[in-house]
Amino acid sequence: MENTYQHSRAPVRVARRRDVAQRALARSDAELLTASIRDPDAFTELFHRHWDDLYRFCLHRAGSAGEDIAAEAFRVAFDRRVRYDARYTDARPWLFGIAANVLRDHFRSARREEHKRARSAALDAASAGQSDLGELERQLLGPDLAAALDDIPAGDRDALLLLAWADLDYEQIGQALDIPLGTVRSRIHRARRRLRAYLDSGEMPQTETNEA
Amino acid sequence: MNQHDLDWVTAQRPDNDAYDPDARERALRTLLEHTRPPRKRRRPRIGGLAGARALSIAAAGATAAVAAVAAVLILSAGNHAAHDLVPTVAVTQPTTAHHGTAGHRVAAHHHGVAPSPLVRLAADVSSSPAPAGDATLVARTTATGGQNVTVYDLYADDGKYYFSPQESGLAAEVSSGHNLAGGLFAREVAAAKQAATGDVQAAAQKMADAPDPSQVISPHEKTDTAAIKKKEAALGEPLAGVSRYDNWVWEDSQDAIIAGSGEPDVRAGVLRILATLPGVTVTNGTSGGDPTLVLTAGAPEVGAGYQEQLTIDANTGVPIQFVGGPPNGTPATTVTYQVSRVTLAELSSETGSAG
Repeated sequence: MENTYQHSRAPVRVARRRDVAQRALARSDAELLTASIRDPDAFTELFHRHWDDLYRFCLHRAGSAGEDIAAEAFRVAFDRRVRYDARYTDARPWLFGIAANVLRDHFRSARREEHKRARSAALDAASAGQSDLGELERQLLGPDLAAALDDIPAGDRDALLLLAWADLDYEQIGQALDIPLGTVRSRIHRARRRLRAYLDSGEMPQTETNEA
Repeated sequence: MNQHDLDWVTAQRPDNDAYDPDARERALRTLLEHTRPPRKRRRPRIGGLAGARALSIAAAGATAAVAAVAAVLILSAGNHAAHDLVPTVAVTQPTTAHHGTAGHRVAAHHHGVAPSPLVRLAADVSSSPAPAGDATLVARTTATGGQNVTVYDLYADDGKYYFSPQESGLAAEVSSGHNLAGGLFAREVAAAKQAATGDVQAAAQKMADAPDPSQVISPHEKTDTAAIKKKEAALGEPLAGVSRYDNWVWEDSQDAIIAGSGEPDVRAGVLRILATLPGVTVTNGTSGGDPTLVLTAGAPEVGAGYQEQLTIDANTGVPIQFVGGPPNGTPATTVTYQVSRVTLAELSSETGSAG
């Protein structure tokens, strides 16, 4: 069942509803979304404003499928624009929330395929002890990060990656994932605790970056 | 706190080798195909929309089966006829159009000076009889760029929430049990109810904490918190004077008074809470000839350099309009509310006739 927090009026905090950056724009995101109900062309301005950020995030999370996922996120956003509460000027968290849902569906469907293949190959036993990190997502994260996030629940992982890769703050993550701020805190705290344990275990260098 | 773990995760972000500048064009083309129906079909659709809008403005009261059959009690200013369900509000503020000008200051009743008009109104609202019906229908009209778009929020007294872009669509939403609430604004409404009869400061604290009860925001919290500083740095503009506590109370109170606009105790409670905020000023205005109160948030609530105003009915406290934007410029956002009470059972029984 859909939840209006996510799709129409998510809670935003400190100086919420009025992202200062939006003031410099000729029309805020909220204005564009409202205008697009009668004039769909107005949505294209919103698209151009946020495409790059959303596309890059989806690329980071889903590789080459990121383009289709980002495009799908904008299509879904267009269909849901009528519900958007114009008191919230900045639509970025809302858009990332939609993208996060599409990404989750993407990985879920990939895992279903993986399970099918695993069954046909009688590999259930091998995969039984694995976390909900599917093989596709594991590959996309890369061996180091996949190992670090291996037993972190999907919701915690989403929150952590929105923080580290999409530069959303806690309030925006709550808005994007449709969860209270306290839940964001606990999810990220939990994820970071596991992460630190992993890094401190000596299996990985603590501050070195991956050599890409 | 050591950030090495977060830094490490950030560093693991894959390079954008797959980034394709042409992807934007492809995605836009896909989007346009989705947003723009084939030309042959689009032309009649434009006419249909225009017709629907004209209908809703001119005669929705007569045609809106939902409102008519559900024994609606109109709650906004005055004793309007049923057609007033559709927003036709033109809010005027006789003192001044903008917050912060000399005229405004003269007319303003700052909270704490004499009996606050909000507290007086809250007392009046508290003593009003329980409303008919078991749900509040809010016709929410957003005007930006000269365009008006009306959608319909239906807040049931039991916490359920239904939405439809058309008023006639609500019956089907209710009868199919398409509840979208998920606890939406339940804690905000509860805080308002507490304020109506109990300790206002305690209720205001609950209002501030409503979205996240696991944390307590102190009213004495310094305004130069790391979160605000970070936001300022990112935006390159100061959020001068804003208080996180006041900001949350102001914003959450609006959510409560809109979601609970059909319930007198919710409105009364919100008014009592808003009267405690240091930056909120109140001016007199009119809407369609009926008296209104215009609540303007100050720097503690929204920071300097920005303005938010909530206009309410001066007799009932029912919200009429929200305006946000630069203090001395054209409003960036104007949302108008038309509030009525309905009965869900009667509403859902209309499914057949509403189509």
